[in-house]
Amino acid sequence: MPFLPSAFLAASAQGSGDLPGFIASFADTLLPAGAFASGAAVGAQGRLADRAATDPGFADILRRAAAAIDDRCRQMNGRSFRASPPAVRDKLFHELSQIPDTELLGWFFQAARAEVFFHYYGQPGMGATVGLGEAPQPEGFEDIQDPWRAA
Amino acid sequence: MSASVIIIGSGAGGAAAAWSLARRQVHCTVLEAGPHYDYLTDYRLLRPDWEKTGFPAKVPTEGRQTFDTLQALEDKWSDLRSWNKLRGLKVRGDRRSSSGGYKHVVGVGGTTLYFTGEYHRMNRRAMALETDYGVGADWPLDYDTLEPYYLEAERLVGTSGPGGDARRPRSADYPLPPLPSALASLTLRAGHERLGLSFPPNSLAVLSEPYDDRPNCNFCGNCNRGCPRGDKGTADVTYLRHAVQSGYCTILTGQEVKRLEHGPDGRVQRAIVAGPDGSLAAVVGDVFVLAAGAIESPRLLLNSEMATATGNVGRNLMETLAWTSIGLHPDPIGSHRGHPSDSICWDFNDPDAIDGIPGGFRMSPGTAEANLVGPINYAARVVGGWGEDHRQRMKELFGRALALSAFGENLPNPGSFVDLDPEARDAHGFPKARINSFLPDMELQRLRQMRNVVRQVLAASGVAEIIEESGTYDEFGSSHVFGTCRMGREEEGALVGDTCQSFEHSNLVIADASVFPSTGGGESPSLTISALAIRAMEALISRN
Repeated sequence: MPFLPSAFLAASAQGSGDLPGFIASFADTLLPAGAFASGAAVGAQGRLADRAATDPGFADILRRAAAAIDDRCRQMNGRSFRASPPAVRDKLFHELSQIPDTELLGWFFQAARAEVFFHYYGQPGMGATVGLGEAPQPEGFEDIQDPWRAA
Repeated sequence: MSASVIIIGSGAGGAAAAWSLARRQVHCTVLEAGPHYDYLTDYRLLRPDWEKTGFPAKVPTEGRQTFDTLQALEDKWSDLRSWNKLRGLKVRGDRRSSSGGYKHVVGVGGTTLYFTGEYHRMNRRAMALETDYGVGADWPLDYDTLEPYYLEAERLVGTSGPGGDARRPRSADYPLPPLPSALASLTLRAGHERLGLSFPPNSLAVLSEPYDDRPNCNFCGNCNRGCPRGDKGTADVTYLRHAVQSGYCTILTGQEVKRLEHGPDGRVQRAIVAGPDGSLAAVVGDVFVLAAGAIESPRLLLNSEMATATGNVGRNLMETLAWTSIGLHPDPIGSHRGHPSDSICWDFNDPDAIDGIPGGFRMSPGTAEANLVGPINYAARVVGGWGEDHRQRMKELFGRALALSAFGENLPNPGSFVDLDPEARDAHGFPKARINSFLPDMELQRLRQMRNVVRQVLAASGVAEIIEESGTYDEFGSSHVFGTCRMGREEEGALVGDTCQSFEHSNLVIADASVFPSTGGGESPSLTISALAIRAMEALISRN
């Protein structure tokens, strides 16, 4: 098992040395730049920082998770998460996604991903990622019996 | 009639009562605890961040009521747990959850501001459950007595519907034709028909054509977030607009009634009201119409020590028995479009529709009410993942979630009631309403049947994989609540008679879903609440 349950507790409560950088990289790994802006480019990492600022429990989990993930990345390629190439980050995300959310690291991944998605897809213009306009009104939909146009 | 009438609450019952009085030139004052809603500034469907919030409550409703500990979850019903493919079980504990609270809106128009506009008449056979099936209670009036008032309400609101349902016969057509069914609903209709079932257009307080200076619906699919067009027949743009325009109705906002006081003759003399600044004042009137809903109406009576002679206040709470299954359809059906409940299956609506389990149910599209209409929820609940694969799957899967919901009869039982919380109090020291809810095995057997049929229809509609299911077994369901101030033919077992007049307090009328003796087989209650209120005010005028 790449991530042992003890990895989370063994990780430094002080967290990664560069927590803002870790959070931004996390957001960009979830939502890399392409036809649309990356997660960090629209400030999705701010959602995690905001929650950490108002929720001490989440802040503690975030710091420990960042440290555990950085440690694991260094095992994999000698670099922190932020400095790792996309293929390593992708492999690490795959490992994280396999951890049940009854374990704190698994819970962190699920919760942090949901926060980033929430912020990202609530930004102006992001409806276009799925073929939507800016908002449901005032146009509504007049094509309700036609197949949905692909994004 | 020269009496002044005080109406407490401005939802489906209070608003219809106000209109019914005002059109007869009877002065009334509506006391509403919440504020007015401004359609353009309060509702968010014109904003890019529209999906981030549900209905924009101006008065927070969390914590206004409390819950007693709900029932333990049992292994034998584990197949009725709510779950999501990505998130796992919705309720992680070993007891039924109350985390969803009691869904309601505090504001002018009440919870109609939030509803999808389903406007259903009762199934006439569901109004005599005790006589015909030995369960629940009979209504003290029959369908035919209520029918003219249904018609008045439908015409005032501008109801769109198909007609042709023998369970709820009509003396005249709907004022408007039905809304067109969206492609997702046509897909579900095909699934129903493959099983020999029907899925016709729903009857809706939503305009299919311009009506009464209001525009038609443009199918944005987000009724639950508040309709900024005014095509949805909420109480404020229909009953209350006309009542106020008549000059006979005044609406006072920010007025929360805390207690009613009565004289030795039993007649209510005044309401003690907390105003916007928190100060308490007395409001006097000749007649009081209580329309605060099935949770707050009994609370007010209990806090006022009124209508307590038979101990019936708060008993017989009935809730929403509901199930939703969501799957992915292989075709790009664009299920986020269209009215959320544009079609309905009434084939299981009769009280004897399920062998050995009294009480029926109905089914309607559930995708929008499950909040799968925008990218935030698709990302979190349907797609998951990360990176380029996530982006590609968002494009591919958006609009393919197809949900079907079932809503069923919920029979009263001794474990479901509203009482006063012995500890929790509001800002003025009045005890809060405490919700006690229990679902006996018969209810869960009905729920399981509902679940089974929903799954069968989805499969017949082309859904190969279910990705999420939710029901009211593991979470209290409060879309509709009923029954805590039951109407009946006589005082034993009831608080009010067939015209909603209190047996114990002659100038008190109750005009909300608390008077329902039974829920019906999944019918949405707003129309029946309004029809009862209109009839109650006609009777009130006749008495005076």
